[in-house]
Amino acid sequence: MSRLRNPFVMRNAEKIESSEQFISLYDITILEAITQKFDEGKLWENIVYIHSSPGAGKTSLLRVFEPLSLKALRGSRSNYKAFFSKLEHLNVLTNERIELLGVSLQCTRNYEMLEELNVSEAHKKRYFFSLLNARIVIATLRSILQLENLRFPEGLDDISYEYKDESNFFLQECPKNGKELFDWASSIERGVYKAIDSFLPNMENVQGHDELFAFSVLQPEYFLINGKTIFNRVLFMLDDTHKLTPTQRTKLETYIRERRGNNSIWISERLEALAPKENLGTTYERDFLEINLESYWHEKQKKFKDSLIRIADSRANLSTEGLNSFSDYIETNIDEDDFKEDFIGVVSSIQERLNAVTKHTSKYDEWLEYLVQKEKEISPLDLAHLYKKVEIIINRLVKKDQLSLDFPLTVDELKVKLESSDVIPAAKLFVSHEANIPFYHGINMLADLSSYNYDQFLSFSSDLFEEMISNKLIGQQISLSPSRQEKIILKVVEKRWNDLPKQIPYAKEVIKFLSEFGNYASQQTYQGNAPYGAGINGFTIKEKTSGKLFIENKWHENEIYETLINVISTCISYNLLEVRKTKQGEKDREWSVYYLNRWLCVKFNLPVSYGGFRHKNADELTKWILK
Amino acid sequence: MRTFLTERLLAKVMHWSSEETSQERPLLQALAGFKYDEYQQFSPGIRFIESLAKWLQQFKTIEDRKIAYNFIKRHLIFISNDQMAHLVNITFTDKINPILIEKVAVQKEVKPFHINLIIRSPEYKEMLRKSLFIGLSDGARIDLLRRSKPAISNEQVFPSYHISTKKAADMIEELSKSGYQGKFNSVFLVDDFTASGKSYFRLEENVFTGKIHKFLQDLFGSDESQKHLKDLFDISDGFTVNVIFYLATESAINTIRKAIKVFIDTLGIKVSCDVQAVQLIEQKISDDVKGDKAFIKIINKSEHFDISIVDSHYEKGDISEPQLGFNGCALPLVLSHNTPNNSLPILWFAEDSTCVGLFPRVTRHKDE
Repeated sequence: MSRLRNPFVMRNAEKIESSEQFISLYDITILEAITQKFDEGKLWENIVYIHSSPGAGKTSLLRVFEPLSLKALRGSRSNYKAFFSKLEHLNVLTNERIELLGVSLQCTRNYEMLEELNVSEAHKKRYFFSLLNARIVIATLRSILQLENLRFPEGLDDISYEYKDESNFFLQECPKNGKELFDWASSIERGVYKAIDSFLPNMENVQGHDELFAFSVLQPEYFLINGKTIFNRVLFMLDDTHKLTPTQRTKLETYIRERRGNNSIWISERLEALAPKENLGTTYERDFLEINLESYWHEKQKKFKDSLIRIADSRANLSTEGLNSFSDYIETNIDEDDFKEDFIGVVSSIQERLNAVTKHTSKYDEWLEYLVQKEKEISPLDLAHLYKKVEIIINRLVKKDQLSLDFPLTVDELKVKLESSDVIPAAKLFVSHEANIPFYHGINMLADLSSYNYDQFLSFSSDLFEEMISNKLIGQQISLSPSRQEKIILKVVEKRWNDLPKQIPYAKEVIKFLSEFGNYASQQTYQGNAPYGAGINGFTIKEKTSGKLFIENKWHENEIYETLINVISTCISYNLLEVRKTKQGEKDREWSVYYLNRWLCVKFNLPVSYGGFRHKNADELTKWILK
Repeated sequence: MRTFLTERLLAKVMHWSSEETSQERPLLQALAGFKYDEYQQFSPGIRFIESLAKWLQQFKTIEDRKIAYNFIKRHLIFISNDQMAHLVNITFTDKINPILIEKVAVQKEVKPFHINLIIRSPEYKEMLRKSLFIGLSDGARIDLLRRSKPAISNEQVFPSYHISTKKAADMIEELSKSGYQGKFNSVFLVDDFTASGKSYFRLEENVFTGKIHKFLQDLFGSDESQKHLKDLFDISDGFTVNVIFYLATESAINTIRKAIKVFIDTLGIKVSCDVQAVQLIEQKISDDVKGDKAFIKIINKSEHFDISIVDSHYEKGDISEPQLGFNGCALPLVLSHNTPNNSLPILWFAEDSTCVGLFPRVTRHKDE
């Protein structure tokens, strides 16, 4: 197994060359989502869509079911018992053999070029289906060779193919073995390539297909080696279908939905494949199963954090630098003594502000005395938090502006208010902000910052790990202080922000929108009375009903909001906004809350907790883009 | 573990913080792994990062070390073995074939863009077979060039510009056997690299010398001992001499072109002669090196220059600024097999020098 200086830079599943290394790095928690579908009896003989933004682990999940991974796992089942038993539970493998043939097909190769051919739509569909049929057949044969340790092409002769259905899709004598099947598929693929490469649309010799019959002609019972079947089930995994053109994707989806047989087909694609309206939650009733990886994790936050820590530690273990843990070297708490003067400074500033606010009233005298008394009893950090909490509470009371008698408020009343759940996090955030002490640090914060996306987690942890190994190299303490962590995190955030224009469509509008919302959220969060407790980092889109002469369509069906629709849809596709459902207001109305991805919270100095949002209407949001 | 210790030494030499180490170390490891470690003149056990640590250590102050390190990061050009092989492999397609096509087009009186018509014609096949490919040094990789175009026969390739009478006769005989009567009507003189052009064509005490000069003199001169060359080449109308370098500086190409023109004019002969580079090193590259004033100031210090490199061979070039390399070329260039002496000497001082070279050079010409 090859070792790297910084294994955190290794991202895509495709780039991890050895299957053994892949198995050792893979965290099996996400398999619970699969197990859940299995236990409900919905996993096999069904169509499952796996959706997520880039980097959430789609391709890695599919790779688990490929023959080489299954063989590596079965070969080392004593080392990976939990992993093995999870797949055993899914009937994927047993101690005796691998029961499932995973056939993986990347939808990234030249399909879109078919759309550019100067032929009729009907012909395009036929060539698209014939190319898909051919490639699925080739991919299946490749998987069988891998599963049976056979070499290409000699091994193809060892595979008997006994197709027993009466409908002959092959338009020629039915292939009898792997070699004939391969030759049939290759000739189709070659024909399509030739047509694509020619200057003229010469499709005369290309075999077109009306049906995607590959799934039905590749059943386990048709394949024999030495007279025996080799596997019990085929799983067809179509990866990156977002790379197909929208028309091809629709054709594929429609065909599979309408002609669904008893095939197990998994289709993995990024959210960007979905049309804006699908992204905005108005999808038609789908009659297939969907696993949205980020949404799944959002419901299992603790498990996701644990999974990240396991991944990080196993990556650290793989490093050449002799570090066997990642999480152990991420310091969680700041050293209060390092920031003592800053806390005292915050306390002095608050004292001045409180004196100014309370000098005309005796209402808060007991509270102020209580604060003075506490100065000698608690640490500067706790004192700063206490002062900040009291300042927030007094600001709230002053803001209420009620006429009341100036009787002093009691310490007992203060103590009740101090325990309020929306004051404590606000005070912590405000003190960090005012004293300029690190806020974005610690392993839990790092997990929060990932927004349920492995790639995002690795992008932060790779820079942190690089610094750990540098510390080791130059003979310093390996662990990273909160200050250092925050500086590194800010640097990564800045880089991601600067890279946005290169990575997303509607970049100018999206950046304008996010900047406006980020600044708005920051201004709302840091108001002296902390009206939103832990702050806000999300918004809902409320339909504007007042002042309208007639009832309009919903905002996402109204073409005057096209720019906003494109911006929000892009943000969701590229995981810049996370959509969460929440209930609030009259009759527990359900709202879609659009939260900033957690790394964007760092960009705008916002807290990373969920729950703080403002209602906005489409006009207000559009103004942010256009102003 | 040894790499770990070297990297630790480097970090210490450069006084790097962990932040700087995190930034520089991945870059250096990538550069070393990707190219620099393949340098063939490192001593056993030494690789790029070890050499870099030793090299930087010779600069006394941390400021000088930072300037030197940044110079390497910003300016160094390392041509790997793969890159040089790539240049050889594209030489026929990019440089030689267009010349042949042009010549056939003139002969057939068609426009040179009728490429398909030309390269399928018997005239093209004859023109290709009647071209002789000669290596000017052992770096010319003439064998690789031949293999890059299977249509080139082994009998029209020769690794040296000194062709014996017997070899010339053999080549004519083989040409005849392959069905073509007459002599060769094109010659391609090929070499890997030149920076000053001086070893190919130069004026020394008012007398021309250099490899190309020697070849042309033998071919067009009246020396009876080289008569066999006149039997080998048809130097009447249409004969072309083409000099091709895989890698050359702009100034070397211009110098050689000018010198050849003067030589041809002096002889009063009519021959078409051109000089080309597959990969041209623009003048800007050495201008940028000279423009890095802070680094030039450092290498101008006496302790960073070993005067012993200035021998009779070095003196054949301009030695007004010897710290800029042979003929003041000021190149930041390293070839995977050796560093050319036209590069800054601080990059290539040999291991027995008073200064430390980053990519120590093995010298070809030495005063005994």
